[in-house]
Amino acid sequence: MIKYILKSTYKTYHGKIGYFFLLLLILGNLIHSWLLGNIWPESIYDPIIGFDLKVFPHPTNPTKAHLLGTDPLGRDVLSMFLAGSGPLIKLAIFSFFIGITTSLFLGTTIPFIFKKADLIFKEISSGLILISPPIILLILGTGDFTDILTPTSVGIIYGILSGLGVCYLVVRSAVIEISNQEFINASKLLGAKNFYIATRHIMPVVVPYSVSYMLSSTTYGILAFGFASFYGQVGWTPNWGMMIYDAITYGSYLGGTNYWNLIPPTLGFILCASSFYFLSLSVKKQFGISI
Amino acid sequence: MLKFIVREILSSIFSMFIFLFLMYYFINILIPGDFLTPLQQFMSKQEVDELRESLGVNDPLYQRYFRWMLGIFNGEITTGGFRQKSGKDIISTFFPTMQILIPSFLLSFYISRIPSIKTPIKKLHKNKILSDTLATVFISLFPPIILFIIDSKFDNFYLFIVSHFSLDKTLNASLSEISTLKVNLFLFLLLIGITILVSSLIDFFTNLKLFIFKVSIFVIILIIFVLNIDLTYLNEIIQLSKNAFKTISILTIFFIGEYILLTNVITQNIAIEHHVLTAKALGFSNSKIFSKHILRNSFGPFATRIGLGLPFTISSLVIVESTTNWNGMGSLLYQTIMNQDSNAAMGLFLLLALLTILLRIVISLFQMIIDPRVRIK
Repeated sequence: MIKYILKSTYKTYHGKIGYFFLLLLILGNLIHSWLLGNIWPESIYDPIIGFDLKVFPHPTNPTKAHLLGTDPLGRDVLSMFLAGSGPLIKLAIFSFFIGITTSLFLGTTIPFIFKKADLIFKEISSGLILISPPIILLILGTGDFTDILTPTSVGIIYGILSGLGVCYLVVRSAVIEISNQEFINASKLLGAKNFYIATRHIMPVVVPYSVSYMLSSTTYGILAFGFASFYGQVGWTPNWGMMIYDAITYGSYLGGTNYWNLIPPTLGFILCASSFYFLSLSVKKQFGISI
Repeated sequence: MLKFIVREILSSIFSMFIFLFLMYYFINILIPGDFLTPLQQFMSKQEVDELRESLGVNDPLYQRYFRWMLGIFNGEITTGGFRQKSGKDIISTFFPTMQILIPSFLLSFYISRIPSIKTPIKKLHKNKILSDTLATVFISLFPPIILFIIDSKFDNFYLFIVSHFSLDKTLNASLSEISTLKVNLFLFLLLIGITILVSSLIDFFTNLKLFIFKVSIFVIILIIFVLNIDLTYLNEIIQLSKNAFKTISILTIFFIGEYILLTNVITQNIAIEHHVLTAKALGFSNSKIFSKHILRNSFGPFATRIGLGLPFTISSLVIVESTTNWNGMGSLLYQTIMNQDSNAAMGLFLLLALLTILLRIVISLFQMIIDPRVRIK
């Protein structure tokens, strides 16, 4: 079903733009790995510890050696820009699949099979909705968890919170609406078990709800990770948030902020976040989801 | 309606307690140390340990949670004996947050309707490529970047205002005589007044219509402002409004993207409904179809989505307020977490949860007032 949804989203212009942006970012990340392994010397072009001794002072405007210039700490901006997409895509993928799995499995089985448990779970979910993932990231970032706050772990946290929170409630309301329809009553009369009906009849119908909500949640996950990175709350991962912080903070000490240091990470955020949002929109449009 | 409100409040209270319980555990387990840890700079370890014992910090977590809950019912939201931030400090951030939240919400709501209103009704069911793309750009814009772009422009504008009206000459007036409450109230009036003015201008330029109600509210605010304000207060308010407008601008940009996309999708769906087609066939004017049939019906799904997205709104407060250093709940929450002040953070979580619940009930009530179908249900 997910494969079908992803295919059908390609038919809308939103989907096409979303996939195009995503492809650009993935390609950029692959090219970065290849360049760093084959052409770029690591001591100069590493996105975290690289430094070009031949160029001074940093930051610099674009040159032949550094196509997007260097940042105030002497690192190559193009290398940082290309490397920044990898962690965010990883975060998005983990968050998306974990959110979908939890919301779909619990959202279809609990309201349909365990109706009494659903009353409690609904309230728990409403409570979970109030927990904003960026705040959890802030809390984790103050502790001894900075090193384990990798894109993967942030994706898992985001996926669980979104999947059990808002996504669960959306799937639940769709399941309640569907469970009174005739085909469900017919399969009950034919002797199908509740679990079978929930997983075979109801789940495929509510998948688009889950997919569209998780895709838009992922967008905010990307921005939240960028924000946490901006404030140094996540480990040493190449990230556009960190690039913006370095450009603004160190730039102000070292002769003014260079726009060449700010435009690439801003563009990166726009490409990455909007690719998932566009995909979410296309799912909503293709499957007539209005909320 | 009363039954509905009571049911909403009861359900919300239950969710709120679950949320607070989880947050209490998260904060106390995940943040290293406790609210007494910063005292180690001034006291010996033994003294801090004794203080810890006397305040019950070493008690099991559930006992401390229970004690905190009891404290709430006694009117003290940051119990624990020692506090880096008092309950008063925390509650005092509520109003500044509302000062920026209400104008940003209203502004983004009005601005987000422009692309739909400017589209001819016969084309409304089609995709709006330009506005959708613009909206996703707004969603993806990183708040520190927006601040970086607008910061110097705001500074220059305020410098011009201050020098042009010679406001800097009154700067040394007796500041101790200024009432913070009065300043905050007038700042709020100024922000709301400008928001109403902007929304009226949007109405005028999109619909070629001015709503008398809105204009009269603006005029009343203007009269209250002119009659009650003196130069010392005006100077103080203008100084404060610089940061307020920066925060509102960033928050509006943060909200506006999603609101545009939502309004586009919702109006696109409503445009193909029978009542719109009938109104079109009967020859109603575009503005009448928009105001009576499309915009009114779009509020229901819009409100549902906004209700679901309230935690996003809350998290954006933390991000935006800490970016501009606005002294609201979001920025204080950021500081308390950084300072390991778990008591104050819990007080703020309580306030944020109450704010979310309040907003959710207000949204539901608006939905009931606007849509008779919801009232009947």
